[in-house]
Amino acid sequence: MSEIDTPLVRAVNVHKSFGRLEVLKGINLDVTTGQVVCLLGPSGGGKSTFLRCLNHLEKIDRGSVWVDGKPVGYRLSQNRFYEIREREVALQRAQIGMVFQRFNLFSNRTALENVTEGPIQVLKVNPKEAHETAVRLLERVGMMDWANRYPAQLSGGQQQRVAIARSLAMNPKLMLFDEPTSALDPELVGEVLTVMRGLAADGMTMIVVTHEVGFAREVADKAVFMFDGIIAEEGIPVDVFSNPRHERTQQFLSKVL
Amino acid sequence: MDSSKFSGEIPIVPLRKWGRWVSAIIIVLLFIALIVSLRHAQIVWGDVPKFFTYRTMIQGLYMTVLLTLACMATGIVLGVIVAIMRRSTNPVMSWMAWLYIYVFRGLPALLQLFIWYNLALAFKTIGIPGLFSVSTNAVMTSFVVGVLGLGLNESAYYAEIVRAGFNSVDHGQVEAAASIGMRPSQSMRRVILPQAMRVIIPPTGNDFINMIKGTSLASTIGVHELLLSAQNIYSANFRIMEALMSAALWYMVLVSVASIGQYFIEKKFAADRSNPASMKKVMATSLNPNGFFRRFVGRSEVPA
Repeated sequence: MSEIDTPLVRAVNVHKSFGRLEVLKGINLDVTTGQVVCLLGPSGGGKSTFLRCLNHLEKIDRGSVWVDGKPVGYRLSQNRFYEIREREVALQRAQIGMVFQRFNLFSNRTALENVTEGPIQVLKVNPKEAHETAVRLLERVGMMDWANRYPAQLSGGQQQRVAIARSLAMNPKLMLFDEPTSALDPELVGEVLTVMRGLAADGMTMIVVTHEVGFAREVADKAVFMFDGIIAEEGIPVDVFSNPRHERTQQFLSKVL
Repeated sequence: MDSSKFSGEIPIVPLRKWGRWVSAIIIVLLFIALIVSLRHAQIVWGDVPKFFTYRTMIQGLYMTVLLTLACMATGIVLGVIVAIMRRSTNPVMSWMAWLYIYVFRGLPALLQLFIWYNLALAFKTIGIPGLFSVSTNAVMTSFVVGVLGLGLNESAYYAEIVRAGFNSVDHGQVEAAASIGMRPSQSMRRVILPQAMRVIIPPTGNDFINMIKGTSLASTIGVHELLLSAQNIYSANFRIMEALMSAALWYMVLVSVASIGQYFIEKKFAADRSNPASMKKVMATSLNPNGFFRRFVGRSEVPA
């Protein structure tokens, strides 16, 4: 297989259970560089869990997750996956940005400090350079005027934009979004989606768990529907949304559209 | 009634707070009775300020402060380590931490002091066979025994305080730290600990004040702190109440100083930047001299 054919993200037969509840029942997914993939479906379908498996925030029970040709959370040697230490996983996570539903900005640091934290602490960039990058990124998400505010002094939409800047500061190969607009007041959703559209247009590889069907239809290269721990249907948004083949997808879309 | 008639300004009469005046009068009378009876008591009051500045009392004061600081430092350092061990994913570590807390919190501090004090009865020497060995009595001075007995006891309590602080930090913060590639140690140092401080600081001040008084236990093993100094004074001149009173005064001074320190440290940390409302709250506080009177006469809170 040539370099170009290798997908940036490859999930192979991913299984995950919480106790006796099987949340993921064998997920296979390929995402190539520059693609925007939206994961859709009802709550409890396993979308968020699957996303969290991609950067090893959840440990998978079976199968494998590959990012940039390397297994996430494991070292492959002689046909065995050896678990690696948390600090080695950290190196892998540094290349994978993640945006959370509840923003999770460091509440004891200003917007600017949230963005410089990763580069300074993890990438060991010198503070001056990190500061310049942070200023550039905060300008990009339209948050430079609030750079010295603490998270609690910002609206949800503003916090989420800072959270996106914080992820981007690590210069990630891939961005994961876990329902980035679900905790926002309706009038604040737009500002976050605008930033995400901009990212997609710039060629960022993105996997987005979302309920925003409009965003998925407009921005996504691929829409993936998950129900009860399996992928029921996937395809180009225009096709899937107008011609859902799977009965569950039809039901889901009839409710949200 | 037709409310349209009352269009003009009508004065509001505040509720009369009779209970406050009645309780104030009772308390004042009780205080007068106390002062009168103390004047008739068989205490030579003139001796109290005299003993207060005795050389031995000042040395005791110094020792009390030194022992408090040493015990709290020991307690905090070990407590943080034990708390971190307690939340370790390594089951041996967390079980050891649990056992440590169980033992050192479970035993009375005085008993622990006595065990350390009498350690030489069980072990003549301390050391690692073949490497080094020292006489137990040489190492276990009364000060060292005091620090071990009170400091280890404190560390067990402190570990629980730190654990509560860790638990107060939202798990999302830890996940966010992980998602930008922070190692667990970085996440602890940069994200969890600083945020846990807000919960940890107030009970630390409390423990500190407790420790000031708790060091008096060390008088039983011959540490020349305030209480033993007072005892030494009255064993020489039999002015028992007078000597105890002047020691009591010193404890009140120390506790007052610690309380003021606690107030300022809490103000610094309680100003939770994640919660703008709490920053206002710390401005209006009980140490405000206007606070008591304002509450007594029932006026409303300080305007923001």
